[in-house]
Amino acid sequence: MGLEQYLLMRHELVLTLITLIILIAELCIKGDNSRKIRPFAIILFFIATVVGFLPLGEGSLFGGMFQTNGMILIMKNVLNIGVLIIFIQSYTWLGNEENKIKVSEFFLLMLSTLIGMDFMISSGDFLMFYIGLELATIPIASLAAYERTKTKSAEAGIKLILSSALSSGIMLYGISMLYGTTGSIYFSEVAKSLHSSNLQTLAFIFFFSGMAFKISIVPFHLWTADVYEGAPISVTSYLSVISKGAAVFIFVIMLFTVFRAMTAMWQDVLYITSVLTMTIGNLFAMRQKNLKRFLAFSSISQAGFIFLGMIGGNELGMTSVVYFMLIYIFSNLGAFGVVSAIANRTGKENRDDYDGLYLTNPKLSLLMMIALFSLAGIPPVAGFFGKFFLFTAAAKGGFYMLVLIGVLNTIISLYYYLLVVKAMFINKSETPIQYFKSDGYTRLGLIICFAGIVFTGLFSFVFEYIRVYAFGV
Amino acid sequence: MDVFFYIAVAIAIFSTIMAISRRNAIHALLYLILSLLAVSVVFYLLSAPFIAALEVIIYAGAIMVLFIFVVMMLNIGLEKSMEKKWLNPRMWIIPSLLAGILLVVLFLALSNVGSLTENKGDILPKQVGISLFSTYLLGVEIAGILLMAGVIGAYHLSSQNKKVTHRFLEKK
Repeated sequence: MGLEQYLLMRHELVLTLITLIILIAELCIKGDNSRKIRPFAIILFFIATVVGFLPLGEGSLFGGMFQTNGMILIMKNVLNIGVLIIFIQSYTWLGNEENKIKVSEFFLLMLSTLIGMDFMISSGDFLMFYIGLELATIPIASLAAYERTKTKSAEAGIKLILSSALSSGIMLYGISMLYGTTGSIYFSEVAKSLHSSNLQTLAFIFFFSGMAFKISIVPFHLWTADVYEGAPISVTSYLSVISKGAAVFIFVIMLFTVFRAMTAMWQDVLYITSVLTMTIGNLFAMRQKNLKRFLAFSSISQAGFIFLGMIGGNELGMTSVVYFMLIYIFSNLGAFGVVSAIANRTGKENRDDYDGLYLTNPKLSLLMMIALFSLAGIPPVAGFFGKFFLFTAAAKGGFYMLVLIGVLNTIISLYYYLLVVKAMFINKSETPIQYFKSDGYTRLGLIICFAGIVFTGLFSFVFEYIRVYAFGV
Repeated sequence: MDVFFYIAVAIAIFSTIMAISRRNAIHALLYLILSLLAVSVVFYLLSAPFIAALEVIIYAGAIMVLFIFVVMMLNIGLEKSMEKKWLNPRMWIIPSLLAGILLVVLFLALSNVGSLTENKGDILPKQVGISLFSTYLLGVEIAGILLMAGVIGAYHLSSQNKKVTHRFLEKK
């Protein structure tokens, strides 16, 4: 029993450490806080991200409450990369006059939610899982209401906290049923005594509903568009990528380990919700004029695609879900980055405002196009391979019909992604957005996204790396 | 003992339904307090006296009082006779009747069991403390981070530019 065993919690410890450092730095730094805190926090988090990639063994701590292995480590690293990009992208927005006095709160709240997500992903029992989940949601609500002067932002905050409280309640009810029927809250114990009795099926449905709120799966997606539209863009991208990613990760782990015995049952549930999510998300996305709402619905339909990877219940599925999330982080953050760069400069968020963007801002519109192509899944860019592996995983599980529906939905989604591309490249506008030069941080964020989309698409060893690292195959 | 359990559960369910169906916030809170008390009796009957006490002290005591304060302060100065209207006998007679039943149940249960320490099955504060700081230590620590994040969030949401006068005293 040496102290070095706590190194297994390296991600969480490092994050807690930098959270505390920022908290203290906020007190100590005199003068213009925001100018110093922002680069300081970004550099600290960059170090944390790099440290996360160092190799680490697997094992469990605290009597099985905390567990980690190669797969979990990769998931945390993927989340870290996403958060780093979001920090870089939000640099300019945080420099605005009204945000200046509360810069460190932004970083502190984001980092504490990230700690929650990391603990949630490595949880070994339902108690830890639940505390991690709460830590991952509650601070986000105050972040969604970050711009206190705007009514929409406050509305987003209250909507988020109410819907997440409801979903947590439903999920807890499900967990209590699981505890009642199995007599344990430890994943390993619960997994042993599951046998698809009616009460356990009900428990799973309740648990699933709670998770579906977080991932915004269709019958539980109604909060998504409003919250995404009202929240500041950095928080929206955080919600759509990191929150969703963490929930997807823990959900896939749970399906594959805890609910292994009920595979046939949850495959049915995933089948129906996945079809609904893809289709309804797509149909609603077509009608959106506001780009934030548009991206919200697009992210709902992407969640449906992610279920395709889970449903097979095989190793390939798990790898492809992580791989897809990595690509999704780059593509979605690329799209959000462009929207945020333009909104910061001009305050415009509607699709009509993007008419003729290519003539004035060719680089931005090119990046937006690649990001949208990647979201849609067009071959040269990464998104294609992400979706390809998801479809392969589902087909391997024998769900050919579902794969067909997925492909059809990809085509539908192509339509509305191309609408934005058409607006930028083909539509003419009397008053296009004027040419502007973004500052270094915005550009850096966009370049990372661009490189990520191209890199993960062109070099297949990323997928192999995840696979080998996670399963040691 | 089973009978007591079912009585307490019935009161809990009834008062919770009443709490979410009342139109007046104060009445809803009255029923919510009753529901929490009933749940605490349930905890006691399930041989968890410490949790039962915590439920009463924290939820029915501290949090509900805060709720009531907030609700009453939000309506400050709107109507002087509000208090009378809220507290007419029709409103508090059912909750207090049910609370009386709970009290009787608690007394009977206490006299059945004998003193707390004799009952071996009971989970006492010491055991709760030991398991919190050994098995569930990690959970406690993360709950600490959650509280810290909550404080930061609350500070962030409620902080406002410095004002000289309190908002209640400002002239409209």
